Formats: sequence, structure tokens, C-alpha cells
Amino acid sequence: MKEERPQDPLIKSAVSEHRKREQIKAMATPVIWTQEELYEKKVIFTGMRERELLNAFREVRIRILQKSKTDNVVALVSSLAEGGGGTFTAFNLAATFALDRHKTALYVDCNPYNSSAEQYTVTPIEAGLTQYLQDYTVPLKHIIYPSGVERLRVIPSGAGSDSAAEFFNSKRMEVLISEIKTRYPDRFIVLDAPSVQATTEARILSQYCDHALLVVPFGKSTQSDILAGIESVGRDKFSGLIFNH
Amino acid sequence: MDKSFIIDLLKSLKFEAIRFRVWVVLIFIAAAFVPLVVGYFWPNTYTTDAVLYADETNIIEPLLKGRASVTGVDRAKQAQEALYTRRVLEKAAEEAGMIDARSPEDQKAAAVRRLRNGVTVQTEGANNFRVLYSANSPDKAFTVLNSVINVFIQDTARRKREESVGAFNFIDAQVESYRNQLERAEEKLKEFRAQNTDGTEAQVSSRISKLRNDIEMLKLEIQESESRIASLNEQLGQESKYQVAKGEVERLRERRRELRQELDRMLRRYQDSYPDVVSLRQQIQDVDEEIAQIEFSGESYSGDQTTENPLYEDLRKQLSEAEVNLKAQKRRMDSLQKLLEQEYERAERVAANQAQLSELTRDLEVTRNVYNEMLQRKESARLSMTLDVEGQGVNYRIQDPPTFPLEPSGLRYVHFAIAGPFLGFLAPLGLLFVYVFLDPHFRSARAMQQQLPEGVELIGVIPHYHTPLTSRLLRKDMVILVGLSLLAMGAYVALSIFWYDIKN
Repeated sequence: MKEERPQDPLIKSAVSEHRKREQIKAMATPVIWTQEELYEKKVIFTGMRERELLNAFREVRIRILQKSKTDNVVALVSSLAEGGGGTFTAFNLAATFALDRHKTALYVDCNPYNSSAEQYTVTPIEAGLTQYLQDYTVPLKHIIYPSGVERLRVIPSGAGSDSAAEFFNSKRMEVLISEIKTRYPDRFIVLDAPSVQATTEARILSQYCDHALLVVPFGKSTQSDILAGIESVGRDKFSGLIFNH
Repeated sequence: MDKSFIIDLLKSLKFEAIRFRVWVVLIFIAAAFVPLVVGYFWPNTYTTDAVLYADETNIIEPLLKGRASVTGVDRAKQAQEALYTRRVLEKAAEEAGMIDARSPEDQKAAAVRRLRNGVTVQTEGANNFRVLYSANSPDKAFTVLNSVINVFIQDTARRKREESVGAFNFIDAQVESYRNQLERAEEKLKEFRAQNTDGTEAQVSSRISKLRNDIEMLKLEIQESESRIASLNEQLGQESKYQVAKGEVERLRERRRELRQELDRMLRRYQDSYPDVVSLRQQIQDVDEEIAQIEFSGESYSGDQTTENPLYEDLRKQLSEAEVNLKAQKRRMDSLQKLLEQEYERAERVAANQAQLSELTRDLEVTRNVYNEMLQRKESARLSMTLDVEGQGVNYRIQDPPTFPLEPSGLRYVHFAIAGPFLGFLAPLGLLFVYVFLDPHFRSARAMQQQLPEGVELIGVIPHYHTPLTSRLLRKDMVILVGLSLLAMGAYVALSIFWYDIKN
């Protein structure tokens, strides 16, 4: 990929590149989903028939990277309305980043009320995010599960909890985010928050993210909904709208 | 409304149609069947019509041009107004058997209202008009229209007659009143004339000018008489009253002349000494002496020998005559002057009366003119009345009598049956359109971007994810729904044919 040149920084970067590749290779994926499974789970992949869909996600990825300073990006995805395809957009956005062989993505399901992470993991879930935040004995690697997509890992939300908002506001959550962010270089983290209209989680989670993205579902949001959503995630964190058909 | 907006709208419609596909099909079926049911219970209407002709011309009109005005209740417009009157419609309803004379008022009013709504009048050309009536049964349409037209024609004729008679009576009354007025004016004028006998201004002025002429003439005569008297007086002064006695001297001188002539004759034959001559000479001397004596004494008249002078007498006679004449003339002058004064006074009176007189005369003239005109009008009205009474003049004729309607008209069961599927198709589409159009939720990224404030960025538009499974499910749904629709249409056709047979 990079030419070997005598300059120091270049050699350095080549060395780190190599290390990265090794690390990524080490991320063993037990099962890779077949095309049928991907279609069934509504996950994008290269070579799919709906090229427009793939290109649309790529477009979003490009726009996010343009706005970012580093390669380690934390993006919050929240839908404006209940059932507006927030999870679909968040997971596919993570999958889009994972398409790049040199990058990995982590999908964090922060929706403890209506979790949908089971369909994205290939091994049975034992503990999730809420368990990790509640129980200090749970190590981080226990809650990271592989998905059927290469280079894409999943942190499920875990068992439903009424006090999720308080957990998300805790110091441990902050530590968790910084840890998963720095664990791998070129890691893209997607926080899938519940819809901004119904809950306050998105508002709390927005403090940990670099970019807050709002999904506008087709025919479910008005102008005032959008403006209220932008206000709730904070104008400085808000990066853009994704219109989802 | 640009192209992309329409494309967005159509896309949204498609999305929503797929989203509500079951409802769309259900509404389609319901909306298709509703008109069919309505059409099944829709009453048939039967319409019949008749063409009436407003006959303005007639045989008598040209004969009486300008003499009699034919009463003008004409044209379709007036006909329509006349036809819609309560009088005509109520009578027509009675004749058609909808009500009778004993029906309560509200029933009558309802019947009239029904007729007024049912009967329409259309103008056709200048003088033709068509009257239409619709009813639920052909029998009713036919009888009602017939009775409406009959009543209308009778009513128009009757009304026209009444109008003419009314007009005649009115003019008759007017003539009478003008006659009275004229008589009063004449009476007034007569009275005035009787009270003021001064005559006219012209008479007075001619009289005055005649008097003036007379006075002028008389003045001349008086001047003449006066100058005559003056000259007579002068002459009279020169003549003495008595004749002078100068006869003696004259006689003596005569004698002397004779003597002389004798002497001269004698002297031719005789000598002076001749005795006769001497004596003659002596005689002449004597006469001379006598003359000298008389002349010396100065007495021309000798004693009682004085006589009246005839010329003097004559002059005196003439003078007295002239004086008498002058006196008479002067008296006449006075009386003429007095007459002139009187005439002047009369002229003043006449002038004062003239204004009143001319007013009275004018009244009379005006009244007389109007009266004469009214008399003529009365005769015209009498002719018009006769025309109308005998059924001449303007008339309505039935050009095309009402026919018995065999086919129903207007909206029919067939129309509803045909319209059903179209309505069924349009109803869900219309509802979707209204929903998409009025719903404030965003259905297009473009519209959203346009409405959002500056700075709110749209970083992606994710199309719908058609997985093979969802596509297959959707296709299955579609097949089921289309099949359902076709089935419903089949049932629709069968039901509509079945009902059509029942209805006919």
C-alpha cells in the first residue's frame, strides 16, 4: 500500500500500518453470514443488488470522515421517531466502516428497552452493556461479541433496566467509551440510541460522541420534530440528518 | 410546482400506497359498490317537454296599424315569469289532480313548490320556448306538463282580456274627467267675458287712433274758422254801416259832362254868341257852382237820403255764421277729448284683464287638446279590447305538444353502475393524495432540506432496503390484493347485471 521510503515518519507509519493489519487479522470471526442471512438481517455488503443503498451509506461515511480529525470516531445515531430505522441505520453505518479492510467498527446498542442486538451477534449473549455498567466485575471483553460481518463487533444492551439513563451518565460509561475507542486504531464506534422523541438517553449519550446523527424516517417527522431533536442532542455535537426511506 | 416536486409527490404516493395497500384495496371495493347500491335505489325520472310559440303577428294588426295597440304579453321571458306564478301553478296542480280545492293551504303551497322546481323554461329563438317537466313516472310527467301548459295558455288569454278591458275603463274614466275639466274651463272663460265687456286691446287702440284722427281734423277746422272770422272782421271794419250821399255830386258831374258834350257839339256849328251856346255855358257854370258848394259843405249825404250798406250786411251775416260754427267745433273738441280720456282708461283696464284672460284661454286650450287626444285613445282602446275579447292579438300557440316519455332521463342506474369502478379507483387515490399533501411529515429529503433552517446539514439519503424476502412477500401481497380486486370487480359486474334485470 505504502512505498518504502527512507524518511523516518513514513517508515514509522508503515510499521504501524503493518501492526494494525496484524491486529485486525487477529480479530477472529467465528461465523461469516451468508448473503441470504445478510439480506434477511437487512445488512449491507459489497456486491449487493441495491447498489444505491450501499452508495448512500458510503456517502454518509465519507461525510463523517470529512468532519472528523482522527480515525477513531464515535458517532451517535438516533431516530427522530419510534420505529424510524435507527438501529438499521446505525448497524449498517458500522458495517460500511467495516467494509474497509484496514478499519474496524463497533456497534454499541444503547437501547436497553427495545434491544435488537441478538440478531446481529453470532454467539449467544451472556452479558451486555447494562450488566457491565452495573457490575464492576464484568470485564470488557465479555460484553464484546462478534457479528456476522467481518471487522464489526457488537456490544449488546443487555437486560432491560429502568435506570439506564443513570447508568449512561456514570463515570464507568465514560471510561468504557474511551477504552473501546483507544483499544484499536481506526476504530469506528456507533452508539445506537433510542429515538430522541421518546426518551432522554440520546441526550445523555451525546456527551460521549463526536458526531450526533439523526435519522429522519419517511413520513414520520415534521420540521418542529427535527428542530427539537437537534436541540436535544446539542447543536455543537449535531452533525447531520440522514433521511431514511 | 416544478418537476422534482411532482416526482417527489408521486414517489411519496407510491410509498404510501404500498404502506396502506390493504386499506387501498378495501376502499376501492367499498367505493365501487356504494354507487352501485345508490344507483339501484335511485328513482328513474321521466322528462317530457313541449314547445310553445309566442304568436305576435296576426291578420288584423296590419289593417289597424297605428290605430290600435295590441296588448303585449310576449316573449319567452315574460312567459316564464307568467308560468311560474302561484296562480298558474296552483291551478295546474289542481287540474293534474295533485291537489283539489278543499286541500289545506300548506299542501297547496307544497304542490306549487314542487311544480316550480320541476318546471323549467328554455328560450329557443326569438319567439319559441320549451317547457320541460320531470317526474318519477311517465304518466305523471305527461299529465302535469299538459295541465301546466293548458292552464298557462288559458290564463294568458284571460289576463290579456282583463288587461284590455281595464285599459279601456281607465281611459274612459280619464276622458270623463277631462271633459269635466274642459267644461269648467269654458264656464270660467264665459264668466270672465261676461264681467269684462271692454273689448279687446285691438278694439280699444283702433278706437283711440280714430278719436285722435278726429281731433286733428277738428283742430284744423277750428284754425280755419278762426282765420275766417279774423278776415271777416277786418273787412267789416273797412265797410261803413250806411251808404254815402255822394250821388248828388256824381249826378251833377254827370250833368256837367252831358252839358259839355252838348256844348262841344254846338260849338262845331255855332258861334260863341249863339244864344244856345251862351245858355249852355251858363248852365255849366251853374253846375260847377253847385258842385263847389256841395263839396265845400262836405256833406255827401243829403239828409234823409241815407240807406243801409248791403255789403256790410252780408259780411255781418257771414261773420256771425262763422262764429257759431267755431263755437260748435270747440264744443265737439271738448267732447272728443273727453272720449279719448275714457278710452285711455279703458285701455288700462283691458291690459289688466288680458293676463287673466290669456291664462283662462290657455287652460282651455290645453284641456281641449288632451281631451281630444283622450277621445282618440279611447277609440283605440275600444278596438284593442274588441281584438282581445275575440281572441285576436298576441297569443301562445302549442308548437310541439308534450309527448309521453318512454325512456327515463337524467341519471340512471346504468350511469351509476358504470361510474362505480372509476369512483372506486379514484377514492383511495384521492384520499392518499390528500393525506400526502396535507400531512406535515416529511416524505422527501428535498422538501425537508428546503424547509429546514440554514446550517442543518443532510448528510445522507438512505433508500429503502428491498431484501429478496420482503420483495417476495410484497409480491405475494400484491398478487393477493390484485386478485381480490379482480374478484370484487367480477362480483360487481354480476351484481350490476342482476340488478339491471330486476329493474327493467
